[in-house]
Amino acid sequence: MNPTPVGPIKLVVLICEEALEQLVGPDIIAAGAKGYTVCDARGRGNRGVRDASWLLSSNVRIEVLCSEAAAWRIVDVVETKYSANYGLVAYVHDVAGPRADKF
Amino acid sequence: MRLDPVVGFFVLGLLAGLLRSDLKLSSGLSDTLIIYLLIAIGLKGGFELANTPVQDLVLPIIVAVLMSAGTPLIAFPILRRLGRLARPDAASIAAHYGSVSVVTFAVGTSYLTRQGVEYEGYMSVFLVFLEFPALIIGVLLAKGLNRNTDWRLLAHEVLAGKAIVLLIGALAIGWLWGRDGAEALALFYDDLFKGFLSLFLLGMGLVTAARISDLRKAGVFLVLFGIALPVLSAVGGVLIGWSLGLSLGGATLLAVLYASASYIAAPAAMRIAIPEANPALSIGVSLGVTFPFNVLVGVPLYHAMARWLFGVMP
Repeated sequence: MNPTPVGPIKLVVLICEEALEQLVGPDIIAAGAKGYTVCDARGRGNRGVRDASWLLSSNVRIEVLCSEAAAWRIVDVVETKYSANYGLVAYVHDVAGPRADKF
Repeated sequence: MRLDPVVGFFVLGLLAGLLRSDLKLSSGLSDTLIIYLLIAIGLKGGFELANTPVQDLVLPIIVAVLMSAGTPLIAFPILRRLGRLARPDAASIAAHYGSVSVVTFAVGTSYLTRQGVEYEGYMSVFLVFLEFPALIIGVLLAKGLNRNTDWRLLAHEVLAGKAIVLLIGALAIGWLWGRDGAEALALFYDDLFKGFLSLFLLGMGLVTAARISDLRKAGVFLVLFGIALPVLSAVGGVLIGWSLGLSLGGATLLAVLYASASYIAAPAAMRIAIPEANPALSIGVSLGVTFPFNVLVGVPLYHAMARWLFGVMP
């Protein structure tokens, strides 16, 4: 039995305040990614506890599977546009998955 | 006890938060409660509108909205000169104070009902029109007209926000169906109102307790500002309400609206429109100082001010 063929994909993870979601979304697509996944996140950072309880204290975690070129464009645009004024961290993983060319 | 029992729940939430109790309102419940409160307030205004000639309201609303621009325009220079705050912070805080708080309004109506004071049911129409102009003024104060503000995004955030959508929607529903048609809804939105308000205020107490640490960053000036400006705005509200020919209760509610500071619509809009502003300052002072002040002291005080004015100038 042949294993399903997998290829390399970049995974960009952005953890940021919820207000940014609607601003970052269009930037991610403009950078060349086909889509992204968002979920609520909790934690603590240099801007204090983000307990997701209510009223602007919630964070989101945005995951983007994309090509390497798109990944660095996303990191670049997000860092230059938002990191000065918003709570935001970004990092990039190397991952592998089936149908890698679709990203 | 002159204070409304719903205020007791605010104090309970505050104490629970300060004691680090594990009491917590999930954001789903808080969202549900605010939706309920917005609809209930909108419906009440709509039912009342059905019995009021709408053209009689146009002038009072225009005057009340124009005058409400005074709050951010007075607040901004005070924050800049006396508070020495950076321009974005001063503009954002000015916008918070120019906008209004739905829950403070709800506490005001609840207080008046308990005191047996009549007020114009259509006051919630004022609430709709007082919510968003200050947010636009705040952005103008921060950036002027021609800098790269995304006005479309801001307009969408402000005008399509749930507060405006639900208030206007419920107003329209109440207005179209009138009190007779909406009798089935009155049981849920009228009779249960105080119960839901008490739950929401319990949550507000918890949130306020969590914000008290922000006050250390805000400093003494902002704490004093968060008490003095609402009182000043309330004086204006009572005077304008009186000159518009509102009843004693109506003028009190207009004062409550002018004195209240937004902590739901404004923070969300300012975060997008003025990202340089530190949200801990604006939310800290509006939620940590002004909201508790208005709920515990302000509402009875503004009522007393209106009673005094209506006593000497009948």
